[in-house]
Amino acid sequence: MTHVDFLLPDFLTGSLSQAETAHVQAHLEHCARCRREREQLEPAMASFNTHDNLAPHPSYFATILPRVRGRIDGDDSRIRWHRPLIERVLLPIAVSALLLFIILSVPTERMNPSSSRGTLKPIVQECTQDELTQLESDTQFNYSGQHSVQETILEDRLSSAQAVPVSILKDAITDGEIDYAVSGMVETLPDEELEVVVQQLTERTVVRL
Amino acid sequence: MSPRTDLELVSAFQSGDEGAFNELVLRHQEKLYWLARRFVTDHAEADDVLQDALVKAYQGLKTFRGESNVFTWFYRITVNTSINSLRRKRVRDFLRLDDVLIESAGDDLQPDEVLEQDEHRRLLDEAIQQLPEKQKAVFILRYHDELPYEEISQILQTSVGGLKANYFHAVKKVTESIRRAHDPR
Repeated sequence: MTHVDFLLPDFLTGSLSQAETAHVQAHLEHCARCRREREQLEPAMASFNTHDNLAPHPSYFATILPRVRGRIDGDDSRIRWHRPLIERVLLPIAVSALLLFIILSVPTERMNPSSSRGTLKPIVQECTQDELTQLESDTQFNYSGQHSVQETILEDRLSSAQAVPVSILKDAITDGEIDYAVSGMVETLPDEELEVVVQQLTERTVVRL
Repeated sequence: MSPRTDLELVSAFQSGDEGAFNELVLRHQEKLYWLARRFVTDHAEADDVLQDALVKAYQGLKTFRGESNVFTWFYRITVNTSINSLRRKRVRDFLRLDDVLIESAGDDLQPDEVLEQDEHRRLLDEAIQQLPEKQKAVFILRYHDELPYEEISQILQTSVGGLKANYFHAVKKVTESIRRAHDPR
């Protein structure tokens, strides 16, 4: 029996053809699983459309074309006559390189346990009660060891971490390790480079402890 | 005289009639605005996206070969521009916390019903924003714009079967997300 999950959203909004609607109805009569699915989706789907009462002022639409024309005419003349090579080519490259460098360097620094005590705090907060109890007893009785239980646990967690939590990176930012002005440079990144940066951020902010 | 079709306007534009582009903008701007608005949720950002998209459309229209419907082509540009705008926002938010706006409920007291509606809209916006890019695009184009899958397929360059699956998963995630917010148990 082929379930009709993928047709349910369109069924609920009345967007299916007559034949498809009949097929879904027939299936729902004898399939409890798909009926449950419909019961969950139905009330929520009816409430999705909430933006229409937030329409901009009617005069807004009259302002779009003049502004777009203004930009087109401005861009045309600027591109043709006023933008020097350094602004068009070198500046975006430099900005992208700087941004990538900063993004790549922050997590690396933070992942080194010796580089900052602040790094350990959120990781300690992730410890289970048993681990904390073990830490406490280790601190009291085995502190002289070169490789205490505390360090082992923390190092294990650091080495198994695939990336640095967003919260740590945000701490780094509030500590002043990143110049706020850099964020303005994001605007100048070409779309392709932006995709690379987003990819990097995604990879580095997924934490698997 | 009947109004010129989109393709006739494109052809006129390519022959040097700048006014044809204006006509295309006036014809489609409202739908494109709502498309952008549903992606980025904020009016000011949607306005930026729309302007960027229309400027890109102007530049691309000179070499548009009519391989797809003009409206579909405008939609594709707006979807891509919206996605890039969201990506920029993610990077900006990541790098600059002091500018992250926290929306307040507003100074004016409002009737409970309005507050409830605002809260529901906020939850819905949050849920949609959490969706992966492709699912978000399908959700907006299918649920809000009610475009046929064939057209969405051209806009997003994805198979119709894949779109149906994406739409179902998007609806399910949004539903689940709202349910959790209302009943966190």
